[in-house]
Formats: sequence, C-alpha cells, structure tokens
Amino acid sequence: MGMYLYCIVPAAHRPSSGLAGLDGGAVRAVDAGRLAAWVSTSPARPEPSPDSVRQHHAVVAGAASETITPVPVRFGEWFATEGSLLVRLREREQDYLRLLEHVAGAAEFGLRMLAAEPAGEAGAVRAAPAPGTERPAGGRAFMESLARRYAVRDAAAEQAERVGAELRAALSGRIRDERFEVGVTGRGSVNLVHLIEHADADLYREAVRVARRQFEDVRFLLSGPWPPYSFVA
Amino acid sequence: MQPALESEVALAELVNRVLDRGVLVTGEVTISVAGVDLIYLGIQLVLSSVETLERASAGRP
Repeated sequence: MGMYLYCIVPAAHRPSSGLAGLDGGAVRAVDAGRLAAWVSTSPARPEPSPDSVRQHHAVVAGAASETITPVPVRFGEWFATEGSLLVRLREREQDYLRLLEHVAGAAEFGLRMLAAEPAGEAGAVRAAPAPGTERPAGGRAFMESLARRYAVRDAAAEQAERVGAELRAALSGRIRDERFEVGVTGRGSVNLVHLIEHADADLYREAVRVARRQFEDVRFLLSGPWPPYSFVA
Repeated sequence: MQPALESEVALAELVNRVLDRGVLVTGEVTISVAGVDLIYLGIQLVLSSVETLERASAGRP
C-alpha cells in the first residue's frame, strides 16, 4: 500500500491521535534520521479537489506548534512504498533540516495588493484581456496594449515596494524573510509574503493596519497565519 | 467583506499555496485534471479572487 506525504517535521514530533488526512486516513509519522514525515496510507496518487486541498492543509496546520513549524509538502506527493519515501528524505536531509530551522516558531502572512488605477487609463487597463488572449486590431494596437500592461505592472510593483519598505521600517527586523510576486492581472496585483514569528503576529497585523491607512489608494488583502508554504519552495 | 466572498478568497489563497507552493520531495509531481494544469488553475483562482476583492472593496462605505 502506498503512502501520501503532507509535511516534514523534526524526528519524534508525533501527530495527535485521531488526526485524519485525505479520505479520513489516519496520519502517522515515519522517522528518517533527524526528520519525520507525516503520512497516511493511500492506494494511489490522489486527485486534487477543494476538499482534498483542505484535508492536506489541515494536516500541515495540525503539525504546527509554538516551537515547531513543519516544512509543508506540495500537494500530490505520493510514494509506492515506505522505502522509496525514506530514500528521498535521506537524500535531502540537510536541506530539510536547514528549512526547519529557518521557519521554526514562525508563520507566513500574505499581503495581496491592488494598485491605484492610473489616471485616465482605468477604462483601457480594466478592459485589457488576459495575457495570450489579446486580439488587437494591428501591430501598433498590440504594442500599445502591451505597454499599458507593463506600465500597470511596474506601477503596482513600485507601490508594493513602498508598502514593503514601510512595513520593514515599522517592524525593525522582525520580518524574518520576504517573498515578492508581481501578478499579471490587467489591474496591477502584487503579493508580498512575510515570514513572521508567532510572538510578533499582532505587531505585524497592526503595522499592516497602519500601512492600510497610509496608502489609501492601495487595496489590501491580508491572509494568514499560514504554514510557510512560500518559504520552502 | 461578506462571508461568501471571504470564503471564496480563502479557498483561492489556500489552493494557490497547497498546489503551487511547499517543498517538492520527488521532483516529479504533475497535477492535472482533464488536461488542465491545476497549478495554473490555482493561480487563476487567486487572480479571480483579486477581482473579487476589488468588487468587495468597491462596495465598502
């Protein structure tokens, strides 16, 4: 019987009794040197669905404690045998130990931002189709459409950089790590992701509230705390 | 934000993380259904949620 992998934790960290994974399967720990993998029995690689994604995440979230933060595994990691899983874990043991240390005692927060609409461009930008679906009338129209899209993206990135700088200044070294992604919507969208210690979570939320007031023309979506999915990929 | 919108956004954020983030152990995971790359789908869901956020924000007093 195969096994489905949810996350990697320090050895001897055990799931609580009754913790269920995909399709209600009991979650157990498989030790591999200084690591343990949380798995459940599964006859085949599962199909993704909203429910299976939620079940996967519930196990990863269940592995988190004040001091231990799991290394989340991406959805779909299935092994035909326990031996094949152990081989993979031993091959990258040092990488996983380094990641466990990096994320210990911390959680991920996502700050998704929509930039202000450029003056006089809102209609044109909002009407811009998704990448790959544009059917401009001619070469010049295509280049103008592309230029607008890049301008929106660059403006959104600059605005998010300013928000990020304000947060870093307000939190004075309490942001352990940061990721920055620029989206491809017709309206500029930027995702700023921070790794924050549990003890600093309220300070972080307050800093975001202040930034929200300071940057009135930016729309914010704050989510978290999450297991550190974005800091182990 | 209305509960229904909040739930939609939360699912999109979750899908984006669980399908497109996290450590790869085998390096061979390919997730697709009926030929659709679900990682791409997850990203699209998040982009969709951004538009939802925009609508929700526009309705704020």
